[in-house]
Amino acid sequence: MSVIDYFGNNLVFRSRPEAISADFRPLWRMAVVLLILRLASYGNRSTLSRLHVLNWAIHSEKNKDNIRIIISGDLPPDKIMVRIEPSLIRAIELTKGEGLIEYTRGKGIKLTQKGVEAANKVVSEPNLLSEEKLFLQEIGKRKLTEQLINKMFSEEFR
Amino acid sequence: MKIRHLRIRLKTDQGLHGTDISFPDGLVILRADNTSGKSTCFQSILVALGLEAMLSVKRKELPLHPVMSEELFSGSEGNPAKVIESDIYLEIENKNEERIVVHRTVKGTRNKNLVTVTKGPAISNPSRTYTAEDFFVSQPGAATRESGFHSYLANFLGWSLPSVQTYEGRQVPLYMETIFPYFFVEQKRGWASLSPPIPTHFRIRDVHRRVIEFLLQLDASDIADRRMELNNKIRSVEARWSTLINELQAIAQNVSGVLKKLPHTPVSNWPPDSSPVIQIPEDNNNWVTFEDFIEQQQSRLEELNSEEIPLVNEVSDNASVELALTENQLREKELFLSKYLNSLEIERAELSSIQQRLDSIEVDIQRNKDVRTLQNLGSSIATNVSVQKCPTCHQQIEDTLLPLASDQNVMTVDDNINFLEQQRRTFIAAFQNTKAVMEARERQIQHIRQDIASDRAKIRTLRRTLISDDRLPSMESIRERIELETSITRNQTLLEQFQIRLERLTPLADEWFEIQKELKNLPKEDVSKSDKEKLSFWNQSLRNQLAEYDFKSLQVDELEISENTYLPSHEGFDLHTNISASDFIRIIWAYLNGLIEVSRHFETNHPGLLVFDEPRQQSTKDISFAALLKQASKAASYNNQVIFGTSERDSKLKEILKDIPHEYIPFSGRIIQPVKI
Repeated sequence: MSVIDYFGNNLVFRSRPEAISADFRPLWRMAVVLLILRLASYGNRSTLSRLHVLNWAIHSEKNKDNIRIIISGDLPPDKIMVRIEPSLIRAIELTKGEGLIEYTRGKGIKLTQKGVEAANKVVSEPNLLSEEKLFLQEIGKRKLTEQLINKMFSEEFR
Repeated sequence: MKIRHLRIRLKTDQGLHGTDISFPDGLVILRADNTSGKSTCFQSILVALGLEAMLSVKRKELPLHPVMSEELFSGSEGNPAKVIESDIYLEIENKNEERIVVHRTVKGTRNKNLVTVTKGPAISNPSRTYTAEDFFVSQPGAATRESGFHSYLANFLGWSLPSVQTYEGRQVPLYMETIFPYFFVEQKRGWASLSPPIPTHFRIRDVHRRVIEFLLQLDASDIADRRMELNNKIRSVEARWSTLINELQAIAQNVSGVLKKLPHTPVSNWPPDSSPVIQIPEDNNNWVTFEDFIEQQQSRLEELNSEEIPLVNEVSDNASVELALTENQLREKELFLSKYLNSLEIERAELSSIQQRLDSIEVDIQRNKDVRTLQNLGSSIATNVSVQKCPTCHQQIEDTLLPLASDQNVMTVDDNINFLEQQRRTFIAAFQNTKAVMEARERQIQHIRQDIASDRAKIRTLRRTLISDDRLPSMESIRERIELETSITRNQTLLEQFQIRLERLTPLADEWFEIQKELKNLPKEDVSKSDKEKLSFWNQSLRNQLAEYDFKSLQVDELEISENTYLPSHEGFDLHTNISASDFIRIIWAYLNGLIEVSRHFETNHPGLLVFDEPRQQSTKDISFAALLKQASKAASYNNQVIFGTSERDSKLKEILKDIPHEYIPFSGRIIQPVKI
């Protein structure tokens, strides 16, 4: 007798909720966007490509190290493959929807006043996104220039 | 404890100055104007007893009014007199009616941290002679070492100071400076807060609780002490158990064996039905117990011994056959060795990958907790997304940035955390399993390497046998016997050591069982029945007194002494903010006077002494102060001593004290006066 025959009509398949990696939770990624703009972007504003690079860096220690040596000049920018994630785009859209960021002409994405306050709350909350805060503070507002970013992307299409 | 006599002596360039104040039993009112030196007297009492930490933490000079060390106005209001030497003498009495005089020098040639105790009432009865002894104060060890004054004082008062924990986990005695504020309220700090001002630099954990537990002699502190003792014992048993287990493991490793069924933490049930054994790997994947292994060795040795050692010419044919056989064996074993080494590499790699997975689970768990925190911050960061609504169209959205099928949904963050924790448990089990396999593999490798070494030795001696004189005894046969004998002796010794240590586990397990049993039987809350009675009485006294003192800010029966902090509270909340300034004072009176009242009806460590310097009655109504004095006067019927220092007007005091039993000690003008020798 096959298994299905044994159970007859009593075999039921129920769809269970999916587990997802926490960095795909909207709130988490939105908080990361706020932190990148607040801690590691001059004037709280950044281009989309730069956001992608820092978002990618935050994923793992290896990626963080790669960014560090690109900044220090020990590695040419075109030697790493930065992954562009659609999920970041979605998070940015939600952040804009909440009025925390705005799109400025030419120079990309900037924190609104509301966004600055929200970002400050995230920064000052202890035990929240500690690793990420440390890394972004290390990068600081001036080290990862748009020039470096351009080099990373333009070389890719050579 | 009773204060009997305070004597201050100041040698100045204008002669000797000072004062003598005697304190009888019952209610004692010391009346003097504000700048008369009244507080200096009370502070001097504390300094004489080495309790200056209650006044200030500065170590350089004693925290007394400059009159005690610099200059004072002489009685004639002329030029100020310079103080050359100043001394405090304090006569105190304990519950056995024994008296001592404590002498401390504030300024002069004597060491300021020296206290001389005269063992008798040298001030009230100077005609006799008494022995004297020196002690030290304000240095580390004053409360613990025999020559420390507080150690002596504790003994004198019949106090056994409990051992308490600091924030750093160290054990220290409950210093007297933390206990005295509960019955000695000095003017500077004593009226500033509802909880008596305890110096914080001792860093004692839960210090208010500890002091109340001690003063009221609550079983709670005994129970807490016993619990701590038991926990220490647990740690000791764990340490000894762990040492034995390590030794057993070491023996197993020594004989290239694997040890199973050993609990790494103590258990109550020992030995188990099937005792732990060392397993030795044989060829291939056979494992045999250590005892059986030794038996095998012994029967082989018997076999060999029953034969005579053959001569070379007898064995040479066999020897060459055996040589070939052994060389084959060696090659086989070397093949096995390389196979095992390979497996070990694979197992190591697997272990490393499991570890990586565990690390990434940790990170994901932490990030999920981040999301939880963000959700709690919710509306202040992302009003819509935090409740899973789209910020533009306000429709429901799923809590994910990834595309989902239409009927799919994602777990809540809490479920996700549980899910990850389950995964972690699974991977930890896999990790431990792989680790055990790896260790067994390492033993196999060790064992086979030993076999290989032995085979190589055998091959060497066989070769030598084959080329040696026919008439000599076969070296290989000799070697074989010797090697076997040594191995057996060694193994037997190790087996013995193993069994000895295994046996030592049994008494440890019994000890463990007893400790666990006692720990379980300790009452859950630390508070016993008699504790509850004392606290309830204190509560009632607090309420009754507040009613007498005309407390108005809150309903008196809504106030109680918190079971957690032992501080007065209102329906579980701190009182500071919702009462008037005058009611604040009333509570301090009722709280501390309540303690001495408990001591009159229950067995406690309270010294039966209460000292209030400037009890702030000017901020309350007259009837409150009168009521307080009336309550305080009960001291006489209970052999207590209650001392009030006040600058209240003489006439008003006489009016209030009209029908109250008391002793009145008035001073007009300065207390420190010239003294005739």
